[in-house]
Amino acid sequence: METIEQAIKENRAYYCLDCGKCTSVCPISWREPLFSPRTMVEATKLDTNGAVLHDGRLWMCLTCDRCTQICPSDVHFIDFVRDMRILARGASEEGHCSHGATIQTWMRMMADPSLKQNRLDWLTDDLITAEESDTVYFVGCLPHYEALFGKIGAQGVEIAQSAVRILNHLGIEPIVLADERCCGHDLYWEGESDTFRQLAALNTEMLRATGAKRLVTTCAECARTLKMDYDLGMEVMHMSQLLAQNESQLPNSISGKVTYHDPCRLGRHLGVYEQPRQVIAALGLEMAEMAHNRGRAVCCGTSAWTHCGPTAKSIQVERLREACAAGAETLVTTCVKCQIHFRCALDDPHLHDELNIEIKDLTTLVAEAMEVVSANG
Amino acid sequence: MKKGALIVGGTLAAVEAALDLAQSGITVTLVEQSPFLGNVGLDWPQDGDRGEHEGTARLLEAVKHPRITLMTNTQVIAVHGRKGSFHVEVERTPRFVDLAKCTACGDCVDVCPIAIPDNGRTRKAIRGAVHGAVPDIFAIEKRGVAPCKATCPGGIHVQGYVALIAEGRFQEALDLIREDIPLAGVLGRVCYHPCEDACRRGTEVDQPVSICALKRFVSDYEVEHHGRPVVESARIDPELGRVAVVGAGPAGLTVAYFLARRGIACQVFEALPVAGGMLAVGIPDYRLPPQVLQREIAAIEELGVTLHLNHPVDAEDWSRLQREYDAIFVGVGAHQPRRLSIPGDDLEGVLPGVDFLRDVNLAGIKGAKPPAVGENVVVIGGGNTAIDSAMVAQRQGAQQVTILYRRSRSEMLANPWEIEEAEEEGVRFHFLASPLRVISDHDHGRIVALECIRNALGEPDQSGRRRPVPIEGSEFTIPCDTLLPAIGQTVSCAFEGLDLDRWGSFRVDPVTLQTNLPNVFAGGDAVIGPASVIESIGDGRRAVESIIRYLRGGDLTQGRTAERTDISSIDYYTPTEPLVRARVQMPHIPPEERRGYEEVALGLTQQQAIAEAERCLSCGVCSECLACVYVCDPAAIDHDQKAERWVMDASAIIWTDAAGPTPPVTRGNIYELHGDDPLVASAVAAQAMADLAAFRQKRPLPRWVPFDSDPRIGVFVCRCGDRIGEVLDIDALVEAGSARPGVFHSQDLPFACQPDGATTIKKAMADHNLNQVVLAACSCCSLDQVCESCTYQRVRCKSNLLSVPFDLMNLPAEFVNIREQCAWAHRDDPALGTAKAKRLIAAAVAKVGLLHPALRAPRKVADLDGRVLVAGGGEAAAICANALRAQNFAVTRSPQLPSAVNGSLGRFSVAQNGAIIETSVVVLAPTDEGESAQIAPRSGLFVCSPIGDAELTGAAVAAKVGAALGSGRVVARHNVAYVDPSRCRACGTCEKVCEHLAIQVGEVDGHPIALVEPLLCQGCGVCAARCPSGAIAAGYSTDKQIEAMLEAILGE
Repeated sequence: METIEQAIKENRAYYCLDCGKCTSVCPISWREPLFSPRTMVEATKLDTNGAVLHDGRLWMCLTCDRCTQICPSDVHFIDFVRDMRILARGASEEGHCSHGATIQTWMRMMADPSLKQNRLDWLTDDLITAEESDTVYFVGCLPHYEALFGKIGAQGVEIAQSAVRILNHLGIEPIVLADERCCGHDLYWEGESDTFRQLAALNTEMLRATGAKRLVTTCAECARTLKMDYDLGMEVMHMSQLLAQNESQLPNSISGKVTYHDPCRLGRHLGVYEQPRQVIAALGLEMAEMAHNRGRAVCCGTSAWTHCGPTAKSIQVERLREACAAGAETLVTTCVKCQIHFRCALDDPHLHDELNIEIKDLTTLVAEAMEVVSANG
Repeated sequence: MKKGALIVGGTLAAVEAALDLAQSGITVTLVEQSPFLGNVGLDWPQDGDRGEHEGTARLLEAVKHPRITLMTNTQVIAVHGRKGSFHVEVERTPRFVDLAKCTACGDCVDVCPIAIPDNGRTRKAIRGAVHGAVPDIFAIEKRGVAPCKATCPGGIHVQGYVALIAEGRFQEALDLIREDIPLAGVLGRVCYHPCEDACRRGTEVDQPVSICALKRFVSDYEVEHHGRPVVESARIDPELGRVAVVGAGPAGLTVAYFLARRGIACQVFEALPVAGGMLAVGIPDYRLPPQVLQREIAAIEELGVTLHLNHPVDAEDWSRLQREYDAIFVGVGAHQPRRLSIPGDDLEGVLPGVDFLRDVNLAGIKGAKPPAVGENVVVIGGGNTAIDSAMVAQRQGAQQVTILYRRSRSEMLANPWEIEEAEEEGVRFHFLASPLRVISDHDHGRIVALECIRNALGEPDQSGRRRPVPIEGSEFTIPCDTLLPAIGQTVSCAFEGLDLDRWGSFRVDPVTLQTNLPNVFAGGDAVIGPASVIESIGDGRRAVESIIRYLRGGDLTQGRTAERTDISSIDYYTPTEPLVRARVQMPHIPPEERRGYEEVALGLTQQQAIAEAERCLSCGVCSECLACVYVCDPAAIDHDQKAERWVMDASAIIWTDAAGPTPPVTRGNIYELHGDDPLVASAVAAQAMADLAAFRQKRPLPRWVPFDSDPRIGVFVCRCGDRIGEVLDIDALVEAGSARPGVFHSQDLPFACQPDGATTIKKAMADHNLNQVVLAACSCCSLDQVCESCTYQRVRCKSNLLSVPFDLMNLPAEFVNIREQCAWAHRDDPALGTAKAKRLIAAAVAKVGLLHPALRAPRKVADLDGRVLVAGGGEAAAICANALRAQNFAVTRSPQLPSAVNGSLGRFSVAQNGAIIETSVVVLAPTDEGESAQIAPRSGLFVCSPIGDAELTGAAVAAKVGAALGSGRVVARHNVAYVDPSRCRACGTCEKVCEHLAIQVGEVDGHPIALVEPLLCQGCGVCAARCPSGAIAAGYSTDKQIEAMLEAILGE
C-alpha cells in the first residue's frame, strides 16, 4: 500500500454514493457524532494533502464490518480503514494503545525470528498431542491473555486445555507448536503490516512444515486471519465449526438459558453464524437470542487493543444489557477478546447489581459438558 | 516575636514532636548541641520498623519544613521567665563548616592528619554524620587553640605542622609554617621555642615535643630535595600601594614577605652590607649557618621584594621615604651596646660583645680580618650574647674564657641549652660577681686584669629575678686581656618626628604598632628592646595587618587585641593511652671537635622527625593545619568562626534526653521527652500544642505562576566543584543542552546547592525570560518529598530554589542526577558518563517541554474547621477528647463506633445512631482488636489503638489530629493524577487500587467517569499504571512525556 489513491481504488471507495447507510449502522457513530464512515470516505476523496492520515478519528473504527455489510455500493470500508492506517503509520501516526501497549509489544517481540519460546507448559499429562497429525491446534495468544487478564477472571489457558481435551475426545491427537507466533491480526488491523508479514512468514513456514491438512483454532480472530490473510495450503476452521461437524458426539448434559454473541471476525468476516448455535443447542442449553444477532450483532466495543475509552465501555454495557434483557444467564462467545472486553465492563463495581450475567467461551462450555458426563460415569 | 515552641536536643523523638507541632501551624525551633541531629548518645534503631533510612528521611522532613528552624551546635545555657513567655539563653559554638556550602564530598577527611581513637576505630578531626544523622555537613572538632600555638609570639600553627610531619607530609608542613612566618630554617635553629615550654606533653606526660627541631627538619628537607626554599608568590600590583621598610632584620623581612605575598610592593633599606639584622651579625655561624639565612632571604627577594644594602637611612632619606611611600615600617633593631660604666671600660681590649660578634660575622662575609682576642677573655653578662661571645672568643683562639655574671645560674637569661653547650666547650662560669674596675698595664695601656666583687642575692627586682647585692670586702681580681661586656643593647636610631620612649625605643600603639605618625609603623627590637627572633617576626605580622588596613583606609583596631589568647578554660584533649616514647635527642658535633664554625646541631633524620611528631597529644583535636581549607572546593571551611550567644523567646519548651538535666523554671513547667518512641513524642507534642493553640498560623496559600507562553527552558549543569567536573565534560553538556529544542539558555554552575547557585538560576531566568528549568546536579526527583536516598544537599538545593521567587512545584524544575548516576557510576569511563548525562539532560528537556495541562492549573485548596468527632468506647477516647478540647477544637463525643463513615479529611459525614454528623476529622476509639480490625484507614480518620497505654495513645492521637487540622487548610499536592475524559471507560480499576480513596467513579454531565480528589491524591501513579485505557496521567509524567524522554534518550 503506497498511496491514498491506491487505498481508495482498491477498496472501491470511488463507488461511495454518500448515502450514509454505513454511518447509520456504526456503533461508534451512534455515540461519537464526529465519527462517520461516510464522512471519512468522502473527506479522503476530497483531501489532496493527506490530512486524513493525521486525523485521530482514523483509529476509532472497530473494523466490525457492519458498514460494509449494508453498503449498497460494496465499498470495502474496513479494508480501506486498514490501508489508510498503514499509510498513517508511514506518517508517524498511531492509535492510542490500551494497557500501555503491552500486547503490541509482545506481538512485536514474537516477530523476531531468533526468539525461542516454550509455549507448551500448559499442556497437562492427560492431554494428548502428537508430533505428526492431520490436525494442528493453533493456540494463539491465549496464555498471554491469561497472564494479563486473569485478574478479571478471563479464561485463557483453560480454553486451550479444553480445546485439546475436546479434540482428544473426538479421537484427534493434534500437533501443538512449541514456537508458534501470534497470528498478527491486531498489528495488521492497526496498520503495522511489516510486523504482520514477519509473523505470518514465521507461522506459515512452521505450519506448513507440520504436514497437517487441517488447522483448528479457538480464536475468532486467528480463524479470520489464518484463513483470509495467510496462504497456508490447509483447511482453517474455528473450533465451533469442527464441533458442529461432530454434533453427534457432543453430550446433551447441561441446562440453562444462554445467549450467543457473534464475534465480528467469526460472524461478518467469515460468515460463521449457525455452527456455534448448533453446538449450544446440542449441549442441551436453551438459546435466548439478543435483539442484535448474527449479521446485525454489535461488536464487543474494542478492536486490536486500540482506542479503548468511554465509547467502548458504553458499547459493552449496552451489549450486556441486551443479553440480560434477553433473559440469558450466560453470554457465550467464541472469541477470547470479546470475553475479556465484556468481563472488563462487568468488573465495574457500579454495574454489578444491574448486569447479572456470566461470560463463557463456547470451547470451555463444551469441555464442561463433557466433564459432567464423565463425572456421572 | 512569634509565639512558638522550643525543642531542646535533636533526638528522633524531638524531630517527631517538631513535625507534629509545625504541621499544626506552630513555629518550632529545634536546638541540638552536637553538630548532628539523630546522633546524640541515643541508640539509633538499627533494625525493625524504623530503620535508619526512614529516620534520615524524617530528619530531612524537619529540615525542609518551613515552620521548623533547626540550630545545630547550639545549647541552652539558661532558661528564664515562665511558661508562656520563657526567655532562653542559648549559645551556638562554631561548626567551622558552612551549612550552606559543604557538599559532604569528604575531601577534607582524606587530608585531615588528626585521627582520634574512637571505640576501636578512629575519627578524624573533621567528620561527617554517621548512622544517617542530619545534616550531612561536615563538622570540625576543635577544643581550642593548642598551647603551643597560643604561646608562639609568631602565632604559628604548631599542632598543625607537627601533625602533618607525623604523616610524612613535610612540604605541606613547611607551607603551613610559611603561612605564619618567613624564616622557617632560621627559627628551626635559633628560636627560644616557648611552645615547647607550654607543650602539654612536657607538663602532663613526660617531655615536650621537640617542636623547634621539627621545624628545622622540614626546612632542611626542602633544601635537600629542591635545593632552595620554594615559596608561593603573588603578582605585585603597584596599585595596592608602596611600602618602605627600614631595616632588613627579622621584623622588616617579615613585613616585606607578607606584603609581597599580598601583592604589595616593598623596598627594604639596610645599613649593613648584609641582610638579616642580628640574625646575620649577632648569631654565630656554628649556631646559624649564613647560607641558611641567606637562602631564605633570597626566597623573600624572589617574591618581588627589593633589598638596598649598605643604605643607612639618613635625615634626607627619611623625608624622601615619607614623601614617596604610602607607608613605612621601621625595624632598625637594637644594636647599641650598653656601656659597663666602670673605670677603664674605654681601654683598648674592651670590646662590647655584640660588636665583637658583628665584627667576626662581617669578617666572614667581607673576607676581612676578624678581631683578635687575647689569652684570657672575660665576658660580662648572662644573656645569649654573653654565651655566644664566649664561645666565639674560644673559636678565635682564646686560651681561657670566663663568663662573669652578677647573679646565679638560674637567673641567667641565656637559653639553658646554650649555657650547657658553652660548658661542654670549656667556658668557665663565675657567678655572683660584678666587675668593679678594669686594671691596665700602665706602660702599654693594655688591660691585664679585672677587679670584681662578690654578690649575694637580695629581694626580687622588677624583672622578678633576685637582685644582686655586693658583699662588702669581697673584692678579688681575675686575669683578663680581653673584656667582652654583653649586658644588653639599646636602639641607636632616631628619625625626625618619631616619638621615643624613655629607653630610646620607638613608641607605638601596642595593638597596631602604629607610631605617632599615622603612616609609620615600627616593631621588633627597635620597639621592644633586644628580644627574640620570633617576637620580632610576630611584630612584623602585626604590622603587616595594620599596614594593609591602613592602605585600604580601614579601621586599624577593629577585632584586634594585644592580649594573648586565654587558654586557661580550654578542655584540651588527652589520649587515654598516650604513645610511650621519649623525646628525640638532636645529635650534635662532640664538644672536642667544635673548634670551627661548622654547625653544631646536626638536625633530625626523617624517621626521627616522624617519630617525634607522633608524640604530639593533639591537644586541640583539630590542629588547624588548614589542609581542609586548601582542599575544600566549595570554600565551606571557616576556622575563624566564633561562638555566639543570644536570648530567644519560647512559649513552651520540650526537653529531650539529648539536652542534659532539665533546668529549673520559676513558674509552669518544661515538658520532658524521653526515649525515641514516636508515640511518646506525639503525646508530649500534644501538651505543647494545647499551650500554643492560640498562636497557630494558617497554612499559606500556594503560589501559582500561570503559564501563558511556550516553554522557554534553561539548562543548568552543576560541576559540584570537581566532583562532577573532574569526570564529566561539563562544557560539552552545556553545549549539548543549548542545542536541544526549546532551550533558550544553558550554563554551568560551580555548586547548584549553594545559595549562589539559586541566585544564578534566578538571574538567568529573568535575563533570558525562562519559564522552565532543567537542573543537572545531584537531585534525582522533582517531587516535593524526601526519600531514603535523599541528602541534606538536595533538600538545601530545592529550598534555595524555592527562595527564588517562584514555586518550584508550580514551575517544575526537572532534576537530573548526573553526580551519582553519571560521574560516579562511570568514573572509569568518563566519555560514557558524559554521553549518558547528555541523554538524561535531553530527556529532561523533552519532558518539561511537554508540561501537562493539569500542572498548569492552580493547586486545590480547602479550608478546614475545627470539628472533631471522637467516637467509640475505648479507654483512650476521653483522654483524646480532652486533649483536643485543650487545643480549642469543637469536639463531639459519642460512646459508640459509628455505623458508617463517609468522606475524608474536612468533609466527613458519619452515621451515628440514625443521625448524620458532619465533621472535619473522625477519631475512633475501638474497645478491642475485633472492633479495631473493622476500621478501614482513610485520610482524616484517626484510630486510638486499644492496645497499649491509653493515656499515651489518646494524647498522641490528639497531636496527630492537631497536625492535620491545626493549620486550618489543606493544599493539594502539585502532582495529582489527571483523568482524560475522552479515554476513561469508568471501569473502576483505579478506584480499586487507590489506597487513599482519592479516585472514584462518578458522573459528569450524566456520563460516568473517574474523578480525582486532589486533596487526597498522593500522586503515586498506581492508578495511572493500572488504567487499562491509558486515561490517567500521573501528575509528574504523562505517557507522552515518557515517550518524549525515551525518544530524546535514544536519539542522542
